[in-house]
Amino acid sequence: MHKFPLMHLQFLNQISVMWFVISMMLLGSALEKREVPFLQENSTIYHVIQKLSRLSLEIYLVQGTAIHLAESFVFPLNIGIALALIFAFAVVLHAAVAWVDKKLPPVRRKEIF
Amino acid sequence: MQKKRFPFVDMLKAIAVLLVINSHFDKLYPIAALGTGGSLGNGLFFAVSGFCLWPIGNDFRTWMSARVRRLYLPVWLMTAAVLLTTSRHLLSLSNVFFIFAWPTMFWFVGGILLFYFLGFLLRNVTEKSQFTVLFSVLLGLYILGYLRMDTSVWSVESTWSIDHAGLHKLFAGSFKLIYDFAMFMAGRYLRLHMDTPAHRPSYYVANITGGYFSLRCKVSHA
Repeated sequence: MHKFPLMHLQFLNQISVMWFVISMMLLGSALEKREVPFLQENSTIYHVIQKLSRLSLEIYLVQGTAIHLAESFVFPLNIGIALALIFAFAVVLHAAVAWVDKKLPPVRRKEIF
Repeated sequence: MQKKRFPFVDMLKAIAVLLVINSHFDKLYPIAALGTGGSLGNGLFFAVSGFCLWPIGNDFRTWMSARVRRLYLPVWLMTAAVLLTTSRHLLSLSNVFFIFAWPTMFWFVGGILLFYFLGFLLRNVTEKSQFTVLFSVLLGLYILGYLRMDTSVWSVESTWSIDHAGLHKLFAGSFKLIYDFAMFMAGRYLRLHMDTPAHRPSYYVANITGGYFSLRCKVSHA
């Protein structure tokens, strides 16, 4: 196995991540100010982006289980199955959370992230 | 106060999600090293969280209860589903707190909850000079923690783990949070002080080089 040659300098990985993240934030803001088509409210692409964004927590939570279920299939079928399961489980979890949330006392909506 | 929406934040969250999904596909790809990008996705997610969690009111109970509810409802539902189906063996008296309260079976939940709390405590850190002090303190803690780490193996991305006996890798997982919290506060800093003058090719170059070197590091050590 090829070893990371500068293992004791592995903090460099985190510096490169920080570099990437900050530049992505700047790029994202610049694209929004430029009013690029795919970030407009009436754009189909933006609807897809928004759906992914709103399900992000649920996707993080279900992906482990979905991937585990897809492991027994061959590539590339396993990728398609994993993705389908991830999004299906995420939608179901989101719906279940919404249902439970309705039964609970309301919170002040303006405070919700 | 009505929260301002930023469409580019949705874009970044979507990218973060796809990167994290891809990083867990290492068991599905014929070449495992293709399953990478998780640290990029996590960093992006924490920075976006810090960016979005502004402004913060002074009522801790209301503010935190909304955050906890949004976070823990899906976590508890998913945890219950996992424990009932595949991981019943994990549950014991010694780890029920870790599984359901903190940090939970999902390490980032424990991290982000801590950041919500710290973010509230530091809600008055708004000036550039204050951020300079904060980042200097975080850098100092990072350096001290890094010097204690066993860097002969890949360890900067270690997270907590829970098994039947309880919570493990407490030091390694906590060290990573210093960096993740810095990303979170970097997001807030950008919310307060980012003034993107124009769309520049240098942003793309920075994205590509940062992403490339991060992925190259991970591929090399795999």
